[in-house]
This record gives sequence, structure tokens and C-alpha cells, in this order.
Amino acid sequence: MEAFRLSSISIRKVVSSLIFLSVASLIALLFSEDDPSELNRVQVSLLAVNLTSFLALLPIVALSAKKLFLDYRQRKLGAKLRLRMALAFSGLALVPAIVIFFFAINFMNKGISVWSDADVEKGLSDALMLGRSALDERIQDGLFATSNISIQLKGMENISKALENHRKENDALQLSLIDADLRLLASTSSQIDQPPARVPTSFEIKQVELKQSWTSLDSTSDDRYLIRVLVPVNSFSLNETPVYLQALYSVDPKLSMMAYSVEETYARYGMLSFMKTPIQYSYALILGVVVMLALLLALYGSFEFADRLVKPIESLEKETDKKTDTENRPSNRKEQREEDEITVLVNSFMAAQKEAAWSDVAKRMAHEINNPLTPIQLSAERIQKRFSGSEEEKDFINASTKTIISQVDVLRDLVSAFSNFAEREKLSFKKTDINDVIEESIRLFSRQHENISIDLKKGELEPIEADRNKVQQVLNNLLLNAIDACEEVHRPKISFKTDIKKINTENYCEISIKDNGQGFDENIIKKAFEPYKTSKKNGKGLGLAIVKSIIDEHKGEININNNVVGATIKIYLPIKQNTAKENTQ
Amino acid sequence: MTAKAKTKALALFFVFFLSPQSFSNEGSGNSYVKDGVYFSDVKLPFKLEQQQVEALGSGLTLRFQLNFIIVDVRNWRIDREIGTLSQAYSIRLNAFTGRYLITNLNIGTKATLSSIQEVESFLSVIKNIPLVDDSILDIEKNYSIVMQANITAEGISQWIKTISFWRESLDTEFETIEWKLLD
Repeated sequence: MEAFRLSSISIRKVVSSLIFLSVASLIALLFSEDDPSELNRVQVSLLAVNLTSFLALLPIVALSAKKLFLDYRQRKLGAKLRLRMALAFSGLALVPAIVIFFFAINFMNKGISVWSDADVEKGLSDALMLGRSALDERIQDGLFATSNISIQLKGMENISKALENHRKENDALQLSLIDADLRLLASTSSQIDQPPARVPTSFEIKQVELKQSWTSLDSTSDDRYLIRVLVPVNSFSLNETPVYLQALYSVDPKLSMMAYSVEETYARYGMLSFMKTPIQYSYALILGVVVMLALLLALYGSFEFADRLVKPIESLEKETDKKTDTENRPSNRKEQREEDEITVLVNSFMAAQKEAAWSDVAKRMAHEINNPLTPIQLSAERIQKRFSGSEEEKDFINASTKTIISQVDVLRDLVSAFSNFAEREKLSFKKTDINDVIEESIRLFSRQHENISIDLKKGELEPIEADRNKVQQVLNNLLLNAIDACEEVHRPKISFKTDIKKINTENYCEISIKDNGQGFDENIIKKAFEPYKTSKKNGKGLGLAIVKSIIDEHKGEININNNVVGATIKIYLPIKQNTAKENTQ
Repeated sequence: MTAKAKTKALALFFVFFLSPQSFSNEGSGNSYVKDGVYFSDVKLPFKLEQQQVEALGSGLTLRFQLNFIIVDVRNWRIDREIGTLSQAYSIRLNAFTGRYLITNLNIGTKATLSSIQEVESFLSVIKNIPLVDDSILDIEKNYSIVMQANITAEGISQWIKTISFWRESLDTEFETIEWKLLD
């Protein structure tokens, strides 16, 4: 019947797996290495898991919502209450989640903005400048010393020895002579394993030509800093081949280390600032996915919760609904459809209680009336036998006692009818041939009413699960009613017809009884199944009430319609009792 | 716009905006044998884009990688890959010294350069890259070197790169260069 059932086990398993997967991945995401600029593969994978869960959950929730709205539009029992509860629970989850989401995004953006705070950037730049200033003095010393060396190299013959002497005197790490073609002419170093001197670039040579010097701070592979000074050696330039002196000086290791630390921090800060916006977007996206997933789960939970909460109320309503007659069933009345299920349930209870009250009254009346009847009857009979007065008086006594006895019999019939209505015996379901039962009823009454044409048009029926005696009682009762209705008709005719009818995929036995009698009083027809409602002069108004209760006990339906001439009563009895319950509800 | 057209437009958006930029290639390469080892020299139109220079200025490290594939070119059959080699450099700006530090990630040597132009000219010509020992090659066969170079931003995951789709890509790819191992 339902293409998609929210409560089906498979859907629940899928949702449970998704919840488990998402929660696990979110916990993993929480504890994974948190480098904002990295968002490494593990984090992306975990995010992908959440996205997958989100995409898988989305159609499930969408289908659940669609089903809920369709049920509501079709005014199915319980749909309105379920929808209201689902909306209430969803609202309870949605509003705080959205508020938290926007606040979280706001705080997160503010938090990230603090990284790139102008004061922080200025502070770092100042720290960098401070470090450079601290080294400037050393650079100036190096420049002064190197310029002096270049002057003193003028006219020296043993250049290598002179370089070594000057290097030692000036505490330089390395001294090198380079020509304009960037060829190394001579070099001396403080360490034997010192790597060969780095040849200056042509750009640096050009700078020396322009400014007569070039200084730079070089970083080494072991994260130290070196001061490099490049100056022209004027004495050699007379030979028309310019020569340059390059000197390397070490930086105090402590200062070098601090400078390295400042530079690292500055670089990291710069990178974070550069990536600030994507990082903000990334966090917002992750938060968005997590919130959306949480919302979907909340929505699904609200549908489930509402479903579970409403189900017992629905069941209760259906049960009470069955206790009342079709016309007056609160769930069937249009005006009641506009009300919610709680109101319908209350009305159903009221109707069921009314019926129960009638039954209780009938039972009590039957008991209370039945008790004095026997002594009254016995006393009347004793009076009749033992009276020994005059014949005239005897006749009077006889007539009076007969009246008493006959009225006691009337009362006994009434008590019997009350008892039948009030005491519902447990049914004994057996395979019953309905056509056979109808024929038996027809046989029973056709002898006494030969003037009435009673016929049966048999449908192809399989035996149904029913209490044969009770069904016989129903048919006898209805046939007797039809006979009574045809009393004053010229050519009375009562027609039975049986057939199979499919209601909500289940097969039902349809019995129709049609007569050409006077039909039902229009004022009575709507309340025909209520106790003590009758249009007959001597009727007790319990026959159709008993019929109705028997049909209800069979989980069937009965309805009455007046024709142009006469009336038709239709009974629907389920072929099988175990499947009938769902459909008649 | 139909759903199919929308999908196409979206696909084109991803192809044009999210894929790395590529250089039109005017690069070249040549190989030579020295002491039983094949070496290669490569010339590339190495040029850093504005956004890459800005990224370096912000403290990001760029990675320049050259991927070499030695291929046995066969007639009427699919070419056979003999071996691969990668040569990688990292480029970063030392904010303290104001110089660009280029580190050869294969052997660890470093060079400091004072300007972007120097960096570009330094990495435009790469010489003496050892490729393969001649003992594993068959002199009768026809070998080619296929080289593909790219620049990527280090320390930034693909995720962050994807999410900064509005920016010019920090990654660039050079067109593939191919030359004969033995001319």
C-alpha cells in the first residue's frame, strides 16, 4: 500500500548506520590534526563521509515529509496530529540550530579575523625590523672592514696569503676575489670544509658598480644567518678587468636564532593571512554540513517521534471508532475531519461510552425485570387454579390472570432481547458458506410467508471465516424486518444477492437484501443501528442494534439505503478475519 | 536553459576556473652522456604569476617540480616506460633577509636570490640533471625523454585550493617537452 514506509526496518537501519558513520567521522574530525591551512586528506575524507550521509539522508527525509503531507492532504486518520507534532519537534530543533549556526559562524569569523589584526601584523613587522636593525651595525662593520681590505689589497703580489691574513684580522668567515665575468680568482675560508664561495650574481655586480658596495643577509642550510659584503677592488681595475671582493661574516648565533624564529612566525602569519578567507569558508562549510546533517537527523527524528507518539492514539481511536455505528463514527463525520485526532478520539470515546451505557442499562433492566417475572407468573397461575368463587368471578379471575401471564411473556421477550443486546458472546469463527446460510433463512421464513417472493442470486463465493449462528441471526433478523416492511405491499418481493468485493486489496463478501416494502423512515434511517430506535408499533428497537454489533464483531460493515421503492441493506463481511482489521479501519 | 546545458556549463566552469593555469611552451631539453650516465639540460619559460609573487611575499612556499619519464618509443606498439625521475625545488621569501631562498629538494643545496627576476632566470635553465645509467639502456632502441613541469603552492591542501576558486590559481603547469635521449 505504501511505497515508502518511514518506519520500515531497512530505512531505520540505513539511518542508524548514517548516524553512526557521521558521529564517528565528526569525532574523528574533532580530534584530527588541526592545521587550519592544511585540512589534510583525512579531514577532507571525513567531510566527504558527512556529505555522503547528508546526501543519503536527504531523500529519506524528503520522502518522509512528502508522505506526511500527502497523508495530511488525503485526511488520513492521525495525519494531522502527526504533521503538527512533526512540525513542532522540527521547529524546536530548527530554530536553535539555525541560531547556533549563525552565532558560531560570526564568532568563528571574528576569531579568525583576530589573526590578521592590523596590530599583530604591525607588531610582527616591527619585530622583523628590530632584528634587522640589530644586524645593521654588524653589517656596517663588515662593510667598513671589507672596504679597508679592498684598499689594502692594492699592489699586493701574494693575493691568497694577503686574503688569509685579512680574513683572520677581521674575523671574516670567507674572503673571495671575483672578476666581472663572475669567475672566482682567489678565496680563503675559516674552515677547510667550508663550501666553495657563492659567486655573486650579475645583478649584485651591477649594484656594486652603481653604489660601490652591496650587502646582504644570507640564510644558510642550518638556519643561520651570514652577512655578505661585496665591494670593488679598485687597484685591479686599472688593468681594465674589474675585480670584486666578497666577504662573509658570521652573525651572533643567539641573534641568528631569534631572527630565524621571528622570520618563521612572520612567514606563518603571512601564509595564514593569505589563506584567511578560504579558511573561513572552509570552516563555514564544515559547520554548515554538520548543522545541515544535524537538522536532517532532527527532522527525521521528529517524524519518527511524532509517528511513535501518535500511533497509540490512532489505535485507541480506531478501536473506539469500531464500537460506534458507521453513520455516527466521529472519524467519518465531515465536521470531525476538520478537528484534530485528540478531539476525534474524545468524540469516539463519548460515542463508545454511550453505547456501553446502553448495554449496561439493558443488562441491568433485563436482570431487574427478569427476577420478579417468575413469581408474578407463578402467583397468577396459582390464583387461576385455586380460585373457587362463583363462575362469574372465576371468569373474571381467569381473564385477569391470563392477561397477567401474557404480559409477563411480553416482558420475558423484552428481557430476552435486552440480554441478547447486552451480552455479546465470544464468536466462534469457522469456514461458513454464506449462500447456504441465506438459503436456510429463506427456507425458515418462506413457509410462513408463501405470498412473499424471496429469492437468492448467488455469487461465486468462497467460504468465509464467520460465526455461522450469529450470521444466521443477522440474516433472520434482516429477513424478518424485510417481511414486516412488505406487509401492505401488493406483490411483495425480497431479493438476496451475494458477491465478492475488493476493498483495499482485501476480498469481502457482499450480501445485499433488497425489498419492495415501505422502506425506512427518513428520520430513523440515520440512527437505525442505535438501540431503541424503531418505527414499528411493537418494535423494541434492538434488532438492528444487535445486527450491527454482530457485524462489527466480524470486522465488517453494514449500511442501509432507501430505494425509490423499498430499501436495500448491504453487508460486507471479510473473507478472512486476520487481514480484515487493517482494511476496515 | 535545460538541465543538460546547465550540467555542461557547470563542467566548463570547473574546467576553466578550478584547473591549474598552464604556460604555452617554448621550452627545450637536451641530453648527453658523461661517465656512463645520461644527463639532461632543460630550458623553460619559467615565469611566476602575480598571485604567486604575492603568495611568496605572504610567506607561502612554492614548489617547482620537473617530472622526467624515459620512454622506449616502439613502432606499431604502445611505448614502454623505462623509468621516471623527479627534480623538485622549493621557493620561498625570507622576510628577514628579503631574499628568495631556492632549495634543491633532491640534494638539499640552497641558493639565495635577491629578486623575482633572478629566481625566474635561475629556474629557467636547469643543467646537469642525472637521468639514467647507460648500462640499462639498449643503444639500438629509440628513447625519448618526456618532461612535465609544474608549480604548486606548498602547505595548502587541495581542499583549500578548491574552496578559493574565485582566486587566480596558485598552481601552474608547463606544457610537456619531449626530446630524444640520443640525437
